[in-house]
Order: sequence, then structure tokens, then C-alpha cells
Amino acid sequence: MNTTGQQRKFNKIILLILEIILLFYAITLIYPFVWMLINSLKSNKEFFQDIWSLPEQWAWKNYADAWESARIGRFFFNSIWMTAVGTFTSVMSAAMPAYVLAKYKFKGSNAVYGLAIVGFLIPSIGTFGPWYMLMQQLSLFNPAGVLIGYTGGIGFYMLVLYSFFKGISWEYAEAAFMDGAGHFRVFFSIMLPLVRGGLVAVATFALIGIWNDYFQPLILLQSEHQYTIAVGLSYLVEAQKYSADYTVLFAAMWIAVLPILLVYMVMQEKLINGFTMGGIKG
Amino acid sequence: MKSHDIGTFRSFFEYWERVDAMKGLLTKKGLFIAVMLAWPLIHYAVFGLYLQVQTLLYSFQSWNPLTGRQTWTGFYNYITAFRSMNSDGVWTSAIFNTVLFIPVNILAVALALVIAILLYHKVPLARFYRIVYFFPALISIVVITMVFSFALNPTQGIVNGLLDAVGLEQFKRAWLGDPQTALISIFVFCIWAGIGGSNVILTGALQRIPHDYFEVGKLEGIGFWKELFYIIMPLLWPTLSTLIIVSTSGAFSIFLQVMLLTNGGPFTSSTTVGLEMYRLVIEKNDYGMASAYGIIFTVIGFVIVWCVKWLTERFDTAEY
Repeated sequence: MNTTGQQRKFNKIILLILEIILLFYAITLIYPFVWMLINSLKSNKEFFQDIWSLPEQWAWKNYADAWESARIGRFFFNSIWMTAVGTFTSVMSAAMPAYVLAKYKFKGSNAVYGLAIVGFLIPSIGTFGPWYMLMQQLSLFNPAGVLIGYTGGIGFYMLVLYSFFKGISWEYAEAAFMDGAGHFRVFFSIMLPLVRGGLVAVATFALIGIWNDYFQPLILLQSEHQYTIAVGLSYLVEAQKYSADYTVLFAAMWIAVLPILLVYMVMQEKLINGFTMGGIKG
Repeated sequence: MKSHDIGTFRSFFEYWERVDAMKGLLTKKGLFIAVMLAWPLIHYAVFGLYLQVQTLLYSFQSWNPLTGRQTWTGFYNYITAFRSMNSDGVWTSAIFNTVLFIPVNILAVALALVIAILLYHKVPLARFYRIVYFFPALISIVVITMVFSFALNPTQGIVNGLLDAVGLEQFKRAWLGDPQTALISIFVFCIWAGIGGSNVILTGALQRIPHDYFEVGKLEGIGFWKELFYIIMPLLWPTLSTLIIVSTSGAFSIFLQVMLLTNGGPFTSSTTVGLEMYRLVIEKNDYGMASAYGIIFTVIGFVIVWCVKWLTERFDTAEY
């Protein structure tokens, strides 16, 4: 009896230590953002005097400066339209193969499904040189090139949507066929609305992924008026190393994070569920 | 007849029944499938297959840096590449660091598993933690690396500021600018920012385990470790092994984190294979060498990934 009592006490202490570690880890993730928010509202001079203090006067001007003179506003709008177009096209190009693989029997359907798996296992950085040359030859060093990159279709999103389509009864389609609807009609007006949950989850991931994407826009966008917010921000970080106007940089960073933060606040339940349903199992 | 055969037979039968009912749709069906698959397949053919083949072809060619003329040079690129791997400090460091990222990534998965189990057992604030931990996976790598490097900033950073505050000034340093700590700081970053994604996937897998398994374990009075190794690990193994494989292959393509945090420096102390290949293309326009390295590391990566896959399949898994 005594030993189990001790055991229980010991377990309680261990559990307490673990809880403290969990809390500490959460703080290390949150605090730097809060710290940046506080410092984005100070004047640069104030920031250099004391990095811990609260702002004496809230310098909202930093946000205006970031938006206009640092051109974050321009980058923001570039990101918005590219994210909107990219999310739609990337989800559609995943939904189309997912649907025919899940609902139609044809030769080679397993092979197409297999391609998606193989894609995961081969690191893509190896083909960077030829990719760079190909994009030059196709003159795709522009937003169109970036958007085409998002329409891969055969990949993770396809696997997610595949499992959603699998779960839907074919009888809905049968009925529509009897009424004389064609395959495209059935796909667009019956099957797609039925997998709304899956589409929302995948679209949210695509949206966040494209908004945040850095690599493709960095390489393919050549002139400043095309930059997305991630690329613009990275150049701003470089520039601030010399001008040391840090508080404006913090403001710019918050402008970039805010949309994602809002989407996450609203969608977190769906997002986390979408991720867990992703059929990542063996 | 096995049940499997009956299944195929039945679907075959249903198929013909359907064909009978809608004869006119048969050719339209083929057209529909073709249209739906056309773009994804073209994209895969160009950006998947074609680029892989091109990489192989390019690896046997050289580019004149001034005129841009291509010439076939046989195995010259490969010989140069293998020489550089044991004599050129840049590449020895890059390879060494890249290999170290495999255990670091796997450590992140292991920590994500421990956290997922803790949160599953209804630690207070579990929902809040899950949301917070996932956040780094959702924001741009530009922002998260910037936040991290600002925390480590030698003069205005939180970490050195805290060390000052608690009187440990002797540990203050330029974390990312010091050859001794640059690489370790990047490892810490990858774990700090990388736990959330795996954590969410593992949480989902844990929630799919029928609750009875844990109940039985509790009745038997087994402890944490027994529960971990006899209940959770076998049931989660399919998910866990997938994550391990993905993080192994992920180690070979790590370079954005490094580029944004230290740009491989100071000197070559924190560079990786991915970053050096990127530089060959962007800075030197040396597509031939970049492709040769690309092929070499794709092959090495593939072999290592298959070894890890083979190893993970040695363990027993349970069906549920």
C-alpha cells in the first residue's frame, strides 16, 4: 500500500513537471509575437532604449509606414489575388482526379493514385536546376508561373478529397443520370456540394499554404510590384539590417500574420479536424 | 470462392448492369475521365517525370558560365562532386549537417508523440495547447524564422535579455552568429516550430483508437511506459512510421530555414546540401553540377528512406 502511495505521489510530481514544460513551451511560442506587437507600437528610439517596456505613446504610425513607405500594402494585395486564384485552381485540380479515382473504374487508376504517394518520397530540391531552366524557357518568371506551380493536383489534397468522395453514396449520381444529367453536371452540381466539408478543409490549407509560400514567389517574381507579402517581408528584413528601423518591420510582420491569425481563430476546429482526417495512415 | 473474388465479380456485374442502363453515356464517360485527369497528369508529367529525366541528362553536361553553352562531359560532374565530398569543406559540412537533421526531425516526431499523449489524457488547457502548438505550422516561414532570430538577437533579443535579467551574462552570445551555436540554434528552431504539425496528426490518430483499449489497460493497472509500448505504439505505428519516413526524407530538402536564419554561416558551419544546391543554380548558374548533386542526394536519400521504411516494418502493428 505504502509503495503505491509513494508511486502515486511520484507520478503526480512528474505530471506537474510535465505540465509546467507544456506551459513553458506554449509561452515560448506566444510571447515573441506579443513582444513584437508591443514593440511595433513604439518609436524606434524607445525600442533601442528598452526592449521590455510598454510603449509610452502608441505609435500607430509604424503601421501606416509599413503599409505605405515599406509597400506592404502593395504586397498585401498581390498576395490576396494570388491566394484567391491559387486556392481555387489548386483545389479544383485536386478535386477532379480525386473524384474520378474514387468513383470511376478505369485502367491505370491505381497507378495515378500511386503517383501521389511516390511524389512524397522523392525530395524535389534535386530537380531545382532543371526546374529553373524550364521556367526560363517557358517564360514563367511571373505570377502565372507561381500559380501554375500550385495546380499540381496529384498529391496530398487529392488523397484527402479521395477519401471524402469514397464516403459518398453513388446512388445520388445514379438518380441524376436517370434524369438525363451528364457526368460534368453530376460532378459540379451534385458531388462537389456533397463533399463541402472536405473542400473547405483542403481549401483552408491551400489558402494558408499559398499565402505563406515563399520559395516559388522568391524565385519567380522578378519585379517589386509583383512581390507577395512573404517575399516583400523577406526583403524588408534584409533592408532593416542596414537602416535598423525595426519597429516598422515588426508592424509589417503583424500585418502579414493577421489574416492567418483570423482564419485560424475562425476555422481552428475544422482545420485541425481536416488535418487529422487526412488519411495519413500507413 | 474467397470473399475478395465475390467482390470483384459483383462489381463487374454491377458495371455491366450500369452499362446496359446507360449505353449512350459509355463513350462520354471515357471523355469525362480524360478531361478530368488531363491537367493533373500533364502537370505531373512535366514537373514530375520530365524534370527528373532532365536532371539525369543535365548531370552529364556542363554549362559555360559566360556563353551559357551546354556540352556533354560524361561523368566529370560526378567525379567532381564525389571529390568535393571529402575534400571541400563546404560540402563535408553540408553533408554532415544534413545527416544530423534526420535524428533532429525524428526527435521532433517523438516529442510530438509525448505531447499528443499528454494532451490526450486531459491535461488542463489541452485544447489551448493544441491550438498554440499548431500555430507555427500555419504562418509563413519568413515570419517564424524572423521571430526566432529576433528572439536570439545578440543586443535586442529576448533570450540574451532574459539571461541578463537572471544574472547569467556569461552565457550570452550571438547565437546565430557564432559557429559553435549556429547549427544547434537551427536544430532548436526546427523542433520548436516543427512539433505542432506532427502533434495534430498524432492526436487525430490517437482519437481514432477505441477507448476500450485504454480502459482495459487502466483496469490492469499498467503504468505510463507499459501503456506507451504495449497499447499506444502498436496502434499508432502506421501513422508514426509514416511521419518518421516523411521526416527522414524531409531532412534532405531542408534549406529555407537555414537560408533565412543563418544563410549557412558563419563560414560554412550551418550549411546544408539543399542550400548548396540552391546556390549552385542561383549564384553560379552551374546547372550541371547542381543536377549531379541532385541525383546523388536523391539516390542517397531514397536508399536511406527505404532503409528506414524497412526498419519500421520490422515492428509489429495492430489492426483495430
